[in-house]
Amino acid sequence: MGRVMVTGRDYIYYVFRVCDRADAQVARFRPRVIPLRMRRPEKSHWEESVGYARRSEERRKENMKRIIPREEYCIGCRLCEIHCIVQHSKSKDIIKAFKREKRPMKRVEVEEHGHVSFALQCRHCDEAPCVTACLSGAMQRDPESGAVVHEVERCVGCWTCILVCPYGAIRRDGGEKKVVGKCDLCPDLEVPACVANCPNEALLLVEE
Amino acid sequence: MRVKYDYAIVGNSAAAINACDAIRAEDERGTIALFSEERYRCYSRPLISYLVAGEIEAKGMYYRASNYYQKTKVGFFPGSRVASVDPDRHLLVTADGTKVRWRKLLLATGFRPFIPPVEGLEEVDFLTFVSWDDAKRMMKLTSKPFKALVVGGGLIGMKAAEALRARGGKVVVVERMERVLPMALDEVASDMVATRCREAGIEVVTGQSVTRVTSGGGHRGTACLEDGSEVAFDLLVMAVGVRPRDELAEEAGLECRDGITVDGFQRTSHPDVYAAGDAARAYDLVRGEPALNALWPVAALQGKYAGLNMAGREIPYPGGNSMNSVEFFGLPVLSAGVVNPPDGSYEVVVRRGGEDDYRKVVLQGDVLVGMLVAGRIERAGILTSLIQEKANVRRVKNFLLEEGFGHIHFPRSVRVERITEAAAGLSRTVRERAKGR
Ligand SMILES: Cc1cc2nc3c(=O)[nH]c(=O)nc-3n(C[C@H](O)[C@H](O)[C@H](O)COP(=O)(O)OP(=O)(O)OC[C@H]3O[C@@H](n4cnc5c(N)ncnc54)[C@H](O)[C@@H]3O)c2cc1C
Ligand code: SF4
Ligand code: SF4
Repeated sequence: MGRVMVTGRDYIYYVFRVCDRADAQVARFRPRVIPLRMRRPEKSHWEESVGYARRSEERRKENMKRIIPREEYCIGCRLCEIHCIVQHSKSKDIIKAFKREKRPMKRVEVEEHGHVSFALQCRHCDEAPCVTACLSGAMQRDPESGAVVHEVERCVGCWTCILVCPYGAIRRDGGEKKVVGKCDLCPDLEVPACVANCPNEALLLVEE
Repeated sequence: MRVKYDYAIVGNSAAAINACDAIRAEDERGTIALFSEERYRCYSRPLISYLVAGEIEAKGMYYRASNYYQKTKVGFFPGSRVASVDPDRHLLVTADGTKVRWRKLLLATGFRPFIPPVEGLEEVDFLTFVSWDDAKRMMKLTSKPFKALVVGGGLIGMKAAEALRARGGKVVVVERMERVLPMALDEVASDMVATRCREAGIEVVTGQSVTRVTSGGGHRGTACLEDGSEVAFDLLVMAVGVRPRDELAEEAGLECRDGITVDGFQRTSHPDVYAAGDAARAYDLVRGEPALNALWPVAALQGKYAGLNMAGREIPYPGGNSMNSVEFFGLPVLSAGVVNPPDGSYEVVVRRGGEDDYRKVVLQGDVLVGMLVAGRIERAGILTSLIQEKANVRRVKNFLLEEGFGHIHFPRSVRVERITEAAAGLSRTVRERAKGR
């Protein structure tokens, strides 16, 4: 099998159901977009609900970025957490970020149980409960990127978003001002820090 | 003023604005008119306590950017109360007599404070705490040292007390029930909150109600409690509860039963009139029947679905549920669904990790129906989503109370589905149930 690339939902399906069994070559590719039709399963049980939800929000942008975890490759080293912290620090320097500056919160969290582990961050839900629930309007969908963005200045730290996020992807910032934080897909980077720094490619960037 | 609109919306808060957004997402051209009795641009009502406490400034109150109405192409009529509605003629009349025709109407009139009949109350210039104007009045009256009496220890009363305390006054809260926040919290959490409040200098009196007030001129006076004790105050805040504002709908002949009755699509008894938010009695997915949930996220979600349906989509409202997020003096408490089980048919599991660490889940069979997390609140949303999805949690039951509880504990297939679906919160199951209703 050569280097293939599939996009969108097909791709997610591919990563989850096919990659497990595919050869190492396929497992190592970086997500650049080379469209290729993948056969969809006859009847996918999640297909319908996804389509349903997608239509109900405002039209989404093409090329929406998503990060997909691959638990078969995650060894629970938590480098993603470390690089996330560095990327969101003032200096973006690993030593300074951890030893001298106020350490920012991590926006990705490795869940671990027995031998299984994976890193999870905000899913940028199609029908984001946090956006609907936010009391202040700080949590919003960015019409440009399609991502769910959090405007720290407007956040009042009421924790309503924490109460409704189905992924536990929002945490309290822990700083002086009462605010929350979550994955912002690293807007300054081509590839988010967690994805770029995972030694095992256990996180993949997908552009839908 | 243009006199004919495709969509007319009464209200300018959570439900109204989210409806507006949903209509625009579906229908780019339709004309929208938005009537608000208040003079402000859309602001977030729950933030008034933050404003009074000085945690945010006036500009932090707004829910949307200042150019929201232009950008969304909405005709906004502030300070314009809708006096009557005629559903059959598709007409509404504002207080100044302007007649406006519409094709679809949304009533997002929200709530009003409930004022109990208390002897002597009308003699006192008391405050309520439900609007920006109320907040302004409160700020004006509390610039000098003061002693405030807050009647009602529910969410609004406690928020008022907290804000007043932050302004440096002496504060007394009187709650009729045996504990504060009786609806949102359970006994243990209520106690934790009350303790925090007492430590912060708020006097919390429970199991007492005010029987009589005597005016001391203006805002001042003395309140008499059931046990005969007296509390003197410079400022009286009445916060015993809220009622849906359904007069407009009632006068228009729409079906109301303590809240505007709506179907699974947020439609009232008239096919072209919709209702959403605190004014409406909409489906509660935990109780399995229509209920009042005077909450911002619920109002926003109802507004969104009302808007989508007004714009021609046929999408059932997935249902809301009671949920609360409060933090008093450094102790955050989140709760959702049934926190005080009404009878013994529920299974309750609790874990107390320390003084400020408390977790509780309520199950009915293998279905999670309620949760409460105090202290370490991170990831509590996962529990909320399981409640909303009515998921069978048999296989993860042992982990529910763990702080690190999450997708790692789910069976792999469920985990994969949830992570890839990313349409969470309102999952397929919830939707299907809503469709079948
Ligand atoms: C102090 C305080 C704290 C709160 N904290 C929280 C919290 O932490 N979490 C939470 O979930 N909820 C909280 N709430 C509740 C939340 O504010 C409400 O659930 C929410 O505002 C409901 O929104 P709504 O759109 O239904 O109506 P409302 O916000 O009540 O707005 C209705 C609007 O309609 C207007 N209107 C009514 N009738 C007419 C008419 N005839 N013509 C023109 N305009 C009309 C009113 O003036 C008002 O502006 C809090 C409320 C208060 C007061
Ligand atoms: S924060 Fe949570 S609810 Fe909001 S978009 Fe991200 S995963 Fe979805
Ligand atoms: S904590 Fe901030 S982002 Fe979350 S709901 Fe409250 S205001 Fe919105």
